[in-house]
Amino acid sequence: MTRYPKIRILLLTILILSFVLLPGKANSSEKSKSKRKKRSRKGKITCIICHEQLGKEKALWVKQWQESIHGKNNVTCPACHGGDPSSFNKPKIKGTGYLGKPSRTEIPEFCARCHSDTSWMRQYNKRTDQLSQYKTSKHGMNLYQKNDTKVAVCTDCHGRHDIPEVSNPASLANHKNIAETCSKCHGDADYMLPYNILTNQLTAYYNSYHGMIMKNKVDGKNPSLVPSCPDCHSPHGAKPPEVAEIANVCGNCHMQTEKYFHDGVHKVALDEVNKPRCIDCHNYHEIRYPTTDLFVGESMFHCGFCHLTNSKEYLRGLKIKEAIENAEREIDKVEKMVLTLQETPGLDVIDLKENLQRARRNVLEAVPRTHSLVEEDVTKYTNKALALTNEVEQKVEDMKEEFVTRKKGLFAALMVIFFLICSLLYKRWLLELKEEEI
Amino acid sequence: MMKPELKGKKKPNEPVGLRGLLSWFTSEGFLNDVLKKRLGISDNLINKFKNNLQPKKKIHLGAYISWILTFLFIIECLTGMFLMMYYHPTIAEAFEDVRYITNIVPYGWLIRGIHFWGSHLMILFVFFHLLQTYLKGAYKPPREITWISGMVLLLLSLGFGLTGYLLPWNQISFWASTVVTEVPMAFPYIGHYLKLIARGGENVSQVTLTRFFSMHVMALPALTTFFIVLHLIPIRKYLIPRDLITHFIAILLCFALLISLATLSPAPIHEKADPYHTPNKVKAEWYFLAAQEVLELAQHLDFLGGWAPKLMGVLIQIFVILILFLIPFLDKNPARNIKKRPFAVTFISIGYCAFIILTLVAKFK
Amino acid sequence: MELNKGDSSYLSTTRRIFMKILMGGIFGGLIGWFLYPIFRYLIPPKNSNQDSDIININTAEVPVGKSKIVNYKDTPTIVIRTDYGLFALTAVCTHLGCIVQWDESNQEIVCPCHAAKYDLNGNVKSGPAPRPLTVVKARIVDDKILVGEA
Repeated sequence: MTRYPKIRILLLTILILSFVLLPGKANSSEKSKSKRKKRSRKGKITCIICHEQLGKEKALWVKQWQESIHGKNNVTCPACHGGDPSSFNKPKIKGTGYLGKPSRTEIPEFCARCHSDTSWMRQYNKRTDQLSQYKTSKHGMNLYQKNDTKVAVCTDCHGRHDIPEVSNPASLANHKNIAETCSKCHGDADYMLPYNILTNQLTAYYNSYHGMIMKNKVDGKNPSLVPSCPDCHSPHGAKPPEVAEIANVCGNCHMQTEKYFHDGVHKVALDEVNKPRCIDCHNYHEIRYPTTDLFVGESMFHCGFCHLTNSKEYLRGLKIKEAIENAEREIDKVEKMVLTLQETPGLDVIDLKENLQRARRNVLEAVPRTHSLVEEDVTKYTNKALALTNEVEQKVEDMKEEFVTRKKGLFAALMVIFFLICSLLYKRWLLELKEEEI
Repeated sequence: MMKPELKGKKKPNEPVGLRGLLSWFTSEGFLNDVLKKRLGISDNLINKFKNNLQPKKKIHLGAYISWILTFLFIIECLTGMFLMMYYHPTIAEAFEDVRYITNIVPYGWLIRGIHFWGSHLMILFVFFHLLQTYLKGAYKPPREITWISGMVLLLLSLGFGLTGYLLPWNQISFWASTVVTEVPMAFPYIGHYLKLIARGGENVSQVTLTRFFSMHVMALPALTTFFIVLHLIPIRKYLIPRDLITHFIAILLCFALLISLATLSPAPIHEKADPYHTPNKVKAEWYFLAAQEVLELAQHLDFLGGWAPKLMGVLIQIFVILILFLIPFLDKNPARNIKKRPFAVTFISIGYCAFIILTLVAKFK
Repeated sequence: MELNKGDSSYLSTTRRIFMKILMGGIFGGLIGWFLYPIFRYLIPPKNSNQDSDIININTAEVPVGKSKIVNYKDTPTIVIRTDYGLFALTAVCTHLGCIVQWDESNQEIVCPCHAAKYDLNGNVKSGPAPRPLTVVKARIVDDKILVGEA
């Protein structure tokens, strides 16, 4: 009897709870669904309602726009195309400011209505100089002065309705894609025929060290840090860099190298006779990883192309080359020694490897100093590297010697043990003899 | 009353004072004065010891192993103590300390090498000792306690290997320990708790290192000493082996082997443990390879579904160990001669063959 | 016969003594051999990096009139700035190895253990200290106090 009230209370609670909780849940989920529907319908504007029903390409525009940066930031159709989206009646009639589809010549100004408006773009923290830059570019000059519509306009790189952010990997203007995008026109020999400029830039670029890194072919290098077309040619004000610009363009990233170059005699020559520029030794577009080979030979991009092979300058180059190569050779030699040593278990080469890395860093520091063309600048660092390498070599020898000493010690210890065993055996033999006597 | 008696007993030429102390260092003085008078060791025992010096024509090979094992345990304790002087069980210092011992401390490489190879030899000889004891039938009544404590000692030496492996805190040891401490997860429901107990957290970390260290230097040596005593109590009458000299020679040979291994194949250093980078080959020490292979083979039982295959892998091993523990009670055949125990011999041969094959398969896979 | 027997026993006893000495020598040598590595192992190698190190402290850490104990070459060293200049001395009292303190009011270095007193040049003024404190070179460069040679 005493237990029943408890159970009843329990059942009652469950009953009440089930009444309160279950319908409540159903209610809330239904409500939120309808709310969401309403909100999304509320957000629709008449352009979209019709265009979605038109299907095919016209419906695609809507979809593309929705996924674009404009769609995400709620920059709706009339923001670009004008018109009055609030009424179904005549959204496109005159007086509503309807613009429709801009022609290629109109496109830059079309985009610039917002993108050059500093007060408007401020909220997005975007730059507004694209149009003015574009006007100074070869593209812009051809478009506005020669009325040439074959040149690139905004939409060619950024897309029309489907404009993703440039940081989006899907964007044609994204760092990883832009080289391919430029090459769509610049790699097309027929298309570029009237302009009489090179069309092999992309292949050349991909053969270059920059391009190799971009294609992830160089271990440990970050593709997002290497330059692509716009990094040297400017994104919107694209045109070939002029003679005076080149060192600055390269120096934007290779700051140290630029500094050393400015310290050297080549800078004087550059100021006087416009030679040698970076590209005279390193080529352009197809910029290979520079090796010490540049110091020998008379072909293009080598010292001998300008200097006589028996001249003082050429010989100085050879000396610099020798200093660097000698350091590298020594490091390679000692590294091999360390690697063979490493195969012996129990040998600790961690410190040796670290020191070799330091030596390599010193060589790496010496290399840009070749641009000053002062021998001492380079040898200062290669000598440091050599000193470190010799230290490692000495340690390797010490280790080997230490091993020999250990083996000698072992041999001596084994001899002592052997002797001890012999004498114990002798003792045993004596005891055996005694036993036999007994 | 007492004084004249004492005086009367004393031999006239017995040295006194400091000369008496010096006389302890002569063989006669040591025997009569130190052993008999001071320590009170009976003539009986001394004679027995002397008799045991007598060479024997035939000695069972296995008789040496027990003494070598004792010697190895002492060597491990001593070298372990010396290693501990320079070792700190922290993840920041452990690896560097091992490097310091191996490279910089004079003869650190030797101490560490002996400790390293000593552990391998110890486990190898424990396996031999088990086989030899089994074949001799030495587990049969009244030696059950010796057998069971011996089995415990086997598990303890494996425990030494397991816990000691992590201490250098290098890549191999870190990941091998990670794999091993993942094994208890095979048990449903309690597996996670067992793992937490083993690791002291979700991952192998500082806590794990500290636990393994305290196990390795405190719990296991104490337990091992206890079980060695238990192991020897039933056979204390035979503790001093016959033909002591030959036994001593065997120990010397073992020591020679130990220092040769330590010199010619030093204990490896590897790379520092990196919890965010698993090396390609994570293999346990050779004595755990068979167990690892069983666990891997158990994965083929996936038709059982769910957690069953993993659990089977662990249960099989526990079952084998349990059988070994209970051998003295399961084997009712009173005969000790190998020829009269065909079933028992077949059982152990299959067991050892399986162990060797599994180890080799795992080694050369 | 008897003579021969005596001879052989005589020989065997000398041989036995010789063997005992030999065995003892070998055992002694062996134990020495095995103990030597352990003996060497127990003497920790010197840390070669710290020997040439010069300690530098910000002057702000040691205002004029105050002192600071720093670790120079593995030895506690007291750096004192006074109106008369900068002083640095080993801070280990020569009496029983306690670390000395700077007593600003009396302008002297005092050992807290047995009240040995030194002046700023390390000379013993009073107390049980048998030897003066060793002076360590120190100077001020810009806003740093450099303790150590060169």
